[in-house]
Amino acid sequence: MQNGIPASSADLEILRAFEPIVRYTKGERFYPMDVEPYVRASSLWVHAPDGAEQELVAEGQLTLDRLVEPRDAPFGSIFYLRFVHPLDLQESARALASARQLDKRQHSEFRAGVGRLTRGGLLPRIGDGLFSLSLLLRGNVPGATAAFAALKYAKIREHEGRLVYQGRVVRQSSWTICQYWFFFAYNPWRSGFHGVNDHESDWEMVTVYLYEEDGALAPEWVAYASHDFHGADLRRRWDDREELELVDGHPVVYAGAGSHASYFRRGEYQAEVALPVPRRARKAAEALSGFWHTRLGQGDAHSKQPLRIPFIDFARGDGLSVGPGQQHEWTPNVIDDTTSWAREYRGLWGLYARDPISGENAPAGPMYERDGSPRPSWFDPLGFAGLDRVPTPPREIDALEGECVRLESRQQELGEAIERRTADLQELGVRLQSMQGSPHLAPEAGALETEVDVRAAEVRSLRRERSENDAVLEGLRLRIERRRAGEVGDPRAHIKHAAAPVPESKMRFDHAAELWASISVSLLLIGLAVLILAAPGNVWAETIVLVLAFVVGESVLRGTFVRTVNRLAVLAALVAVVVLFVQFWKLTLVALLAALAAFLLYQRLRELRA
Amino acid sequence: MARPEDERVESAPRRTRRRPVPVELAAVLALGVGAYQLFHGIEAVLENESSSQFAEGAVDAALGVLALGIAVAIFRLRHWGWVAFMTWALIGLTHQLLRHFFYNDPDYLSMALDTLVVFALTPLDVQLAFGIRAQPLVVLEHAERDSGELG
Repeated sequence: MQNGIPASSADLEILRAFEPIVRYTKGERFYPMDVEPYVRASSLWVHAPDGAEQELVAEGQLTLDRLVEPRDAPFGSIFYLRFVHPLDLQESARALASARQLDKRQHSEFRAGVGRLTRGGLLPRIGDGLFSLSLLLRGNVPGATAAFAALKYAKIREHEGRLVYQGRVVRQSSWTICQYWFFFAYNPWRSGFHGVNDHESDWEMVTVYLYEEDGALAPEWVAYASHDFHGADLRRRWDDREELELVDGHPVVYAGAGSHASYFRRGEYQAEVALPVPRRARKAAEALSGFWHTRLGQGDAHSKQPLRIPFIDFARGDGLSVGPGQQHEWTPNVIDDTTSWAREYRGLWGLYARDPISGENAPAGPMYERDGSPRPSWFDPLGFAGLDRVPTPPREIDALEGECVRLESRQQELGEAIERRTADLQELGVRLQSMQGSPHLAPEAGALETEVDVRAAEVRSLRRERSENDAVLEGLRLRIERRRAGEVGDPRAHIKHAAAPVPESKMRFDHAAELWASISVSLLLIGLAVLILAAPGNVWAETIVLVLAFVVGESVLRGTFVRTVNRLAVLAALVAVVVLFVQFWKLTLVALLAALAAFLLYQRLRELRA
Repeated sequence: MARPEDERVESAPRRTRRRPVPVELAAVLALGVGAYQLFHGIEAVLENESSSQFAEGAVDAALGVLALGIAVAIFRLRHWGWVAFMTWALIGLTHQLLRHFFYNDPDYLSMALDTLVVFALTPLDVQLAFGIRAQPLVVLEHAERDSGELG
């Protein structure tokens, strides 16, 4: 057992014993805070189904008690908080300037590093441009909101400097589960760190799974919530030193800059966001991509999403570190199913930006999804990390032995059933044989044959089950043996997909490539405009040449010239095949028939000689 | 220039390298193209009827010499030979496709030959022989590593 604490400890003590250390990235503006000052600094609104917005409680008058007051509203209404009121132009400019000064004062300016724009290539960059344009059509959080939120949050921190987590202890199926919920006033991933989205308020969560043995609680698993991974992929075993960093028995979390996403390892993570295109277009693109990768052997086989935009989540861990023994310690706030602000307020914890794909809408509280339905991580914390099927270590051997006994009993039943049914089958077989040679028994023989076939299939199925059970039993016994010998097995056997930081070699490009990446899309568009004006007669041909030149030039800077030339050549060759077939289909058909005839002739002659 | 990844992959040791059949086909094609260009170029230069014809002939002859060089490099499984011939084929195909679609003046024989070159140089064993791609590794790890996550 490792890092155990008495099982009789109070929830707060259990939470404190395993609370995580979170390392943020330099440039982070928002840290986990208490919900109370946030609510006090916000106003409460309702978005009616007809699109009307109504302020229910003004800023300065809202409290946690007023937040949970029952309110009637028609179906389709959305309650939400507003941390930042609508800003006019003057306020926006002032907020942006003040936030910049604040960053300078705090020495927390973020530097993306050379290469951010270069990582994705020309086509994803065009996609990036389209994605940015889509923000004009979709609802989004206005640009200066992040700056204003940062200033407002900084003021709250001056008075209320505590860094808070909302801790919850829940006991399910012999597991003791510690959930650490982190609440942030704002998620500035897009505006501050070139990411995908911005939204008011943010919730992140880390869960530690403990088991009881000899009167003490010990940690076995830890799971970090993530949008892109689910179930067992979210968790790491406590003894997995390669993936899970521990400091004095506390798990270390590397938080993404702005996104606050939790990672097990320090680094920069490349996230890919699918472009919001119609389903049919996406399916067609995936089919083409599959043909390109599997049939033509081009590109990376694992890159299945062709319409993607790469984004970076910077989890460098070079900023503020919060947790036991760090620059700042946590202030825990214990919550449970009866905590009123968590249970009774089902609305959003920040601005409802009317974004249909929800990226810019604020999240709901820890108990609910944005639509007000219960959040799985709250009501089913075991299933959330795929642990609903995993017994605690002390119960594992009992569970294995129980399963062995059940299977052995089933094997015995199967053995008897097979013996009995085989005897019956043989009797039928003998009767069927005795009918052979008697034409007048043909109908009876036919019916009997059908019955024999059915019974034989049943016996075959029982034998198959017995054989499979033998293999399962062997595995169970081996596992029992290993567990008794103290072997715990591969700590990552349960992981199918895991986030890994992108290697430095693939992240850094030189300044020329970065400069080119910054200007290339605009240059391309200007070039196209010039072509349309200067040579309208041949604009398509010249456009193709221009785009090709850009793609090849880009590949030289990115060091992917050979791969790019090969891909373009294969693409051109495929088009040429179609062109040649259309032009010379008769000749092609004749050549194919002649080749087939020659091949068949060769085969037959060889056969003849043999 | 700092490059994030070196495209050149260590090819198999020379003694153990075997020349795939499509490589020989590609080399013969390069040889044919080179000989034709060179002959055509020299002929134009010798005729010397006008300065433009002379220049055109000289360019053709130079291209012919280049194609012959590429043919030798292809025969000897040189990395640069593959890159040069693939680039040649790409330029040729682009040229012919543009002529077909926009100028109604295509040379279908050139288009077919360039297509043949591309398909001859693209298979994995050919790229391995030239050191263009690395031998695919047998993945022993149980976990498929994925790209990052969103916040």
